[in-house]
Amino acid sequence: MLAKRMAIIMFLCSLLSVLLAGCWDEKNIEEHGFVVGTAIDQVDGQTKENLMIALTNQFVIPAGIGTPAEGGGEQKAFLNLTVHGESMFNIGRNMASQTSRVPFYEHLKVLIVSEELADTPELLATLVDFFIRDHEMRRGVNIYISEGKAKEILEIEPKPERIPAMFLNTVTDNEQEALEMISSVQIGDLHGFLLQPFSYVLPKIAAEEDKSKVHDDKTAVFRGYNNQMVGTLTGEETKGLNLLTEKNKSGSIVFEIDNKPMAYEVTGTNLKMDIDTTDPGNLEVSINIKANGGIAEMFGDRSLLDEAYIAKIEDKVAEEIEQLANQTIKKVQHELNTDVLEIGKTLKQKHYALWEKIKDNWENGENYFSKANIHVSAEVNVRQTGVTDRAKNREHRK
Amino acid sequence: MKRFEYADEGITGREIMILMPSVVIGVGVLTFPKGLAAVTVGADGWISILVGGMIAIFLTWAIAKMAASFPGQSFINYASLIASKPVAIILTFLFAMIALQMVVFQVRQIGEMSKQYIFDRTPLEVVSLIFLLVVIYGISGSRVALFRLNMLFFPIILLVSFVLLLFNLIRIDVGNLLPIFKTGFQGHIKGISDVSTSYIGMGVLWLYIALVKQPKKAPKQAVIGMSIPVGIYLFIYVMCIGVFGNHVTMNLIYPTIELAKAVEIPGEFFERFESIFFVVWIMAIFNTAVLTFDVAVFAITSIFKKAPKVKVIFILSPLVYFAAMLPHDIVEVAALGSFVGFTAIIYTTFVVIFLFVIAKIRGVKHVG
Repeated sequence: MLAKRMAIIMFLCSLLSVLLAGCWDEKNIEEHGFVVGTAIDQVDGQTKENLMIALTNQFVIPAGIGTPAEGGGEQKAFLNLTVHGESMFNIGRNMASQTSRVPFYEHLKVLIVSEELADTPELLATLVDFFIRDHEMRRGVNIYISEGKAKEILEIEPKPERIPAMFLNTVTDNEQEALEMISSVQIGDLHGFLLQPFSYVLPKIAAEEDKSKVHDDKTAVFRGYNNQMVGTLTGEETKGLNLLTEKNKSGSIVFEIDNKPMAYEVTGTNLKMDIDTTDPGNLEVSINIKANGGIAEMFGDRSLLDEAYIAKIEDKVAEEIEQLANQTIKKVQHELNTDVLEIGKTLKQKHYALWEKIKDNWENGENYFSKANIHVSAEVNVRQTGVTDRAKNREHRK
Repeated sequence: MKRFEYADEGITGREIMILMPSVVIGVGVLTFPKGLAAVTVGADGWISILVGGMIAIFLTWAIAKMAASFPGQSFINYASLIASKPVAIILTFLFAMIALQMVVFQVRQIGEMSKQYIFDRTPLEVVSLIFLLVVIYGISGSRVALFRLNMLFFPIILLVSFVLLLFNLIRIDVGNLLPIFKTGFQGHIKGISDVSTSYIGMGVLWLYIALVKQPKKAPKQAVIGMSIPVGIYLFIYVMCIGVFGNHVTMNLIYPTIELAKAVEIPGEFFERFESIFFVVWIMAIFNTAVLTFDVAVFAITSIFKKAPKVKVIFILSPLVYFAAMLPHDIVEVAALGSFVGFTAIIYTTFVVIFLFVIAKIRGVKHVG
C-alpha cells in the first residue's frame, strides 16, 4: 500500500517538474539585444503614398562600454542597425533576420522621428502606436523630432559618453535649466497629446556637422486635430513659450541695462490666465507671468544693494519677458494658428460649456483662437543677487 | 492526507474586517478606471466610486446584520427558517453558481494579465491552470487558515498600494483633474453601475458570519472592512486621472498597472516597481479567488451534507477551468466580467430585500 502510494507521489512529482520547469519565456541575458535608442526615417526616393519606413535601432555592445577606469578600448560601444519596411511589424520581422540578438526594448531611452515624417497628418500617431502599445516599452521613453535624418542623431560621437542615445538622454536632462528648450516629452505624454484635440509641442534636435554634439534649442509645433507638424519655434521663441506655459520653469534671461548686459536667472514662475468669455468671437485672454529669480551675472559695476536700482532691473526684465512672450504669441497665433499656449485647455477646464460649443471651430473653421486678443503682463522679483555685491570696483582705477 | 488542526475553528470580528477588502480587491482594481473614465468628464468619476461604495457598504451592513441575527447558523438554515427549505436550497445553489462564476473570471483574468505583461510566450492556459491548482490547494485545507492567510497578506497589499500612490504624487498634473462637476446624470448612473461590479464579493458574508464567535460585532466590523476598498479605489482613480488624464486613462487596458509602471523612486536606486506590484497583486487576486471558491464549496456542501469537501472541489475545479477558457479574446473576457458583476449585484440585492420582506411578513427573527 505504502509503496504504491509512494509510486504515485513520485510520478506526480516528476510530471510536475516536467510541466513547471519548462518556462516558455526563458531567455538568457546574453541573447537580448538591448536597444537604447530608435530612429524612424522615411526611405529616400519614396513617395508618401507608398511609404517605406527606415527604422534604426541602437544596440548596446556591453564589451565596448568597459569600466570607468579602463575605458572601453577601441571597440565601439554601440551598433546601429537599419531595416526598411512598410510597417513596424514588418520591420520587426526583418530585424530578427539580421541580428543574432532579439531586440529588447525594455531599456529604450529615446525615440527620434524625422521631421519629414512628422509633417504628414496623422502619421506620427501611426508610427508611435507600436511604441505605446507594446508592453515592453515604458511610458517614460523620451521622444524627439529631428531636423534632417533621425538616423544621423544616433550616429554622433559624443564625449565622454560612449553611446549616443544615452548621451542625448543625459544632455537633455541636464539642460532642464535652459529656457531655450522645453522639458523633455515622454511617450506617455505624447499618448495623451494624440488622444486629445489640443495642439502640442515636442523638442526638436539636430546633429552638428562634425557629429560632436546635438543642437536641442528648437521646438516642433504640432496641430492637435490632425497631429501634423506645422512649424518650428526658434530658441528665442521657445523662451517665450516656456514663460507662457511653464513647460520649463527655470533658465536665464539676458537683457541690457545702462548699455551693459545682465543675466537674470529665473528660478520659478507663477502663471495666471484669465479669459473673458463675453464674446466668444473675440475672447479676451490675459496672461500674467510672475517670475522669481536672481541676478546671475552682470557686466556693469553698480551696487545691487540699492532699492531703486533693483526696481529698475525688475522693470527691465519684465519688459524683456513681455517682449519674448509677445513674439511667441505673434508667431503661434497668426503665423501657425496653433494653440500651443494652452488657452483651449484652460477653456475646457474653466469654461467647459463654452468649450464644448466652440471646440470644433478653435483652430479651423471659425478660428476662434486666432481671433482672440491675448495680453501679457509680467511681474518680476529679484530675490538673490549672488554672494557678493560687486565683483569689480571702479574707484581703484581712478 | 494529514492536516494541521487549529485549536479553535472560529474567527473573530477583526478577521471579518480584513475579509472584506481581501475579497473585494482583486482584478477589478486593475481595470475599473478605464470604464469609469470613459463615461465621466475630468475626475468626476470619484462621485460614482463614492456613491457605488456607499451602496456596497449598505448592502454589506444589511447582509451582516441579517446573518448575525442567526448566530452560528448556516445560510441554508436561516434561509429555510425564513422562506422554506426548497427556496433556501435554490438560493444557496444560485449563490454557489455566482461565486463559481467569479472564480472563473479571476482565473481567466490573471492569465490574461500575466500573458500581457509577464509571460509573452507561455500559453495562457498554463498560467491559469497553475493559478487554479494553487487555489485548489488553498481551499482543500482548513477554512480558518484562509482567514489567517488574509491577515498575513493584507498589510502587504496595503503597503504596496500606499507606495504606488505616494510615488505617483509628484507626477500629478492638477489640470488633468479639471473640469469638475461637468458629468451629466446619465454619466454618473453609468459610472455607478460600472464601478459597482468592482465592489462585488460582500455576498461571502451570507455564509462566513456563521463562523464568527461573537456575531454581534460583525456588522460594524464588516462595514469598516468594506470602506477600505472604497478608499483605495478613490485614491487610485484620482491618481490615474491626475497622472494620465481622462483621455489616456480610458484608452489604457490596465490603468492601474500602468500607474505601477510609471512609479519612479527618486534617485533611481530602485526601478521596475511593477515587478513587486505584480507579485503582491497576484497575492490579492489569489485571496479573492480562494475565498470565493471556498464559499462556493461551502454553499454546496451545505446542500449536500454527506458529500466530502475534497470530492466537491475535485468535481468543480475542471468545470471552472473549462469555463475560464471559453472566452475567445479580451473583449469577451470583459463581457464575462460585467456579466459576473451584474449577476452578483442583482443576486445580492434581491436576496437582501427578499429575505427581509419575507422575514417581516412571517415574523421570523432572532432564532437560536
